Amino acid sequence: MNADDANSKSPTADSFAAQLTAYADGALTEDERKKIAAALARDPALQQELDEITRLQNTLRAVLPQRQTPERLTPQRGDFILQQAANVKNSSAKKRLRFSLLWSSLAAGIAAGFIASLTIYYPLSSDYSPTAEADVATLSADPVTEQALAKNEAANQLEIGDKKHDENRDDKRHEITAQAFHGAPASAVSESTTQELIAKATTEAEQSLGQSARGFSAEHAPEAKLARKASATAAPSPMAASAAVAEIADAAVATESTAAVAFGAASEPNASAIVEIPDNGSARGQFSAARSQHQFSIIIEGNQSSFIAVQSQRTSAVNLVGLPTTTAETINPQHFINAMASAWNMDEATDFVFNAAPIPPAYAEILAPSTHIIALVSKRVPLAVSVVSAQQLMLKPIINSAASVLTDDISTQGTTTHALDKDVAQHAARGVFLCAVSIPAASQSASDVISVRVADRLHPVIISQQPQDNITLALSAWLAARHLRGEPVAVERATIMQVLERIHAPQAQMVRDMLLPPTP
Amino acid sequence: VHPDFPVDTSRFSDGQLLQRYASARDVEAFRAILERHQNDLLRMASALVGDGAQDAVQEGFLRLAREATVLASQWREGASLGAWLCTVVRNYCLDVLRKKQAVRINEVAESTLKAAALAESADSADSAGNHQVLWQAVGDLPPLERAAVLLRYRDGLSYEMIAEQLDKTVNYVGVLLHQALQRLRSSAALRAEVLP
Repeated sequence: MNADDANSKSPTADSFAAQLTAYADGALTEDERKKIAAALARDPALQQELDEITRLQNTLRAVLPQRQTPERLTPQRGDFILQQAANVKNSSAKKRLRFSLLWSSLAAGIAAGFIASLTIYYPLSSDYSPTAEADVATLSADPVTEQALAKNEAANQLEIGDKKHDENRDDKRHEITAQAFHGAPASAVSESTTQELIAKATTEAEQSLGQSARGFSAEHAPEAKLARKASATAAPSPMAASAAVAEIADAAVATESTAAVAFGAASEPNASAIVEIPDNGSARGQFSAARSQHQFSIIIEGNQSSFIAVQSQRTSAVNLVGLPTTTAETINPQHFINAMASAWNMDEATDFVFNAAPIPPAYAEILAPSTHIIALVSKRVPLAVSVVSAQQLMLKPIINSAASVLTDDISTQGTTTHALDKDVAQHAARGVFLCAVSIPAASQSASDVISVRVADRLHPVIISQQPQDNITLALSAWLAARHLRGEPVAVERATIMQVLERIHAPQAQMVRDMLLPPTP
Repeated sequence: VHPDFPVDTSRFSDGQLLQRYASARDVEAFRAILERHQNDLLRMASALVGDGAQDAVQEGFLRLAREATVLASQWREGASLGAWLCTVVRNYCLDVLRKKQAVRINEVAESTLKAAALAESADSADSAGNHQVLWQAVGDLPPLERAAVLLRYRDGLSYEMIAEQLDKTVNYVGVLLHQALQRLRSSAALRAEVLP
């Protein structure tokens, strides 16, 4: 027994008295024993204390063994376990088959959704034509969203809702914005001051948010329908859907899918740390090191081979999941849309959307330092909360499933396959936190500006690009789980920034260049 | 050697048995694992959750069956299946304790008391009464302290083994035991009935 060590484990413990107990138990080293013996010889009171401890220990030793634990499981349990063990193979195969069917259906949904999103998204992002916007409105089939849009109509100067009245105004705004964005030649941009770049990026961010909010329902309605159809194919009833969600989790483990990480994180009761391990040495050694220090670890390795390792305190299962190699060659920033993940209080978010309540100052400040953007954000950002871009369609059921894990009862509703806004309301009714927030941005820089602003102000925020979306999801699910339990989300900003730098260092550097004054 | 299992499983390591089960779903290999570890797991689980130990250990082995493939694929030299199972069962027990936090932990003590009283039926009434007071006091201890006391003074485990089973350091086990004994010594009932 080391007194200092004992004290460090329990500040309230009297280390010497603890050593006295260990002395009576014969559990000290020779040196420690001699030390205690010397103290006992000097202090009769201490000797009396020892006598009492010894007497109690002897009593315990005499009484407690009278009831020994059964050495074996009951025969019925043993048989049951072996029967289950024998059936695992068939069960796994069946699950894999169903899993394959489900994901095949979702893959088909993705393809169709991607095509649909190309049809809708690119006209919106490229020319902002009123015709395209009208198409968006036509496609916007969600009555709740439309109701929310209508509610916000009167008060919002940047409102989009009524297309007939707003087309001219929008056209003008788009012209101004487009000029700000695209008008300046490349040479002019290179000569701009940092402040001007920030202003440009801010404008771009504003446009992105507005576009995201405006296009939300329409942009995602078709893919949502397709995805629902895909889910319906695999899960013909709400209960089956619920079962399918559970099977995804099991099958994900069986197939070493990264989805398992999200589930593990969401159900993790004792998460305590996120660790980033430098990209040197073996993954095994790094994992062991992290495991010895933390009950729960998410390890993000370097670029050549990425791993997520989750040690679940609940299961103690070590899921070492190999992600696809994410080398510089395979990452094409043009193909990805940044995702921003954080634990959002859905009650609040829904209030913003459906009750037109002002966004809390903290959020508004984070998302939009300029009053101009606050005006937009206060009305529209919540709509973006449930947006998952077309390229991220696969993540929708996972995100929802993670939310279901958090609440246990949501999946039985059968309507939460996808986090559309009316589902958001249902989640909110149960006080659920959405795990992930994705804000599709018109450009990389705009998205990064938003992301870095958030990272600067909030700890529980992880920023990632699509190849790391599973990491994002795992982290956000973890954060949400902690948030739900009222526990502090102890993620150091430095860690987040390290993750950010590791994940997309070039973009981070670009944003830093934009936001920070040049060093003399 | 199991009568239906021509191979002497005792010469297989845990890792080999696991690989055998994971690759061929060899139930006898799984049975060998179960036989090898159930005693230790039951002892540890009972120290934490009393009569819920059977549930906890069952869950541990079912989990092993479900995750055997993944576990086997990640198996490394020197890995300990016993430690893995121990952690699964321990965490299950801690989950149970957390969920039942509102429920008096004395439920555990009560069920233990009944069995203890039964075992002591041959003893004198006074002795049984004293023992009940002691069991009650032990049952009132915080879960980890209670587990440490039971593993030490009921099962005779060393500090090192207790530390391994509870996933704590040896020093922390010392602190747990010290605090537990302090609580027991300060128990008025115990002082009056058992430690006059």
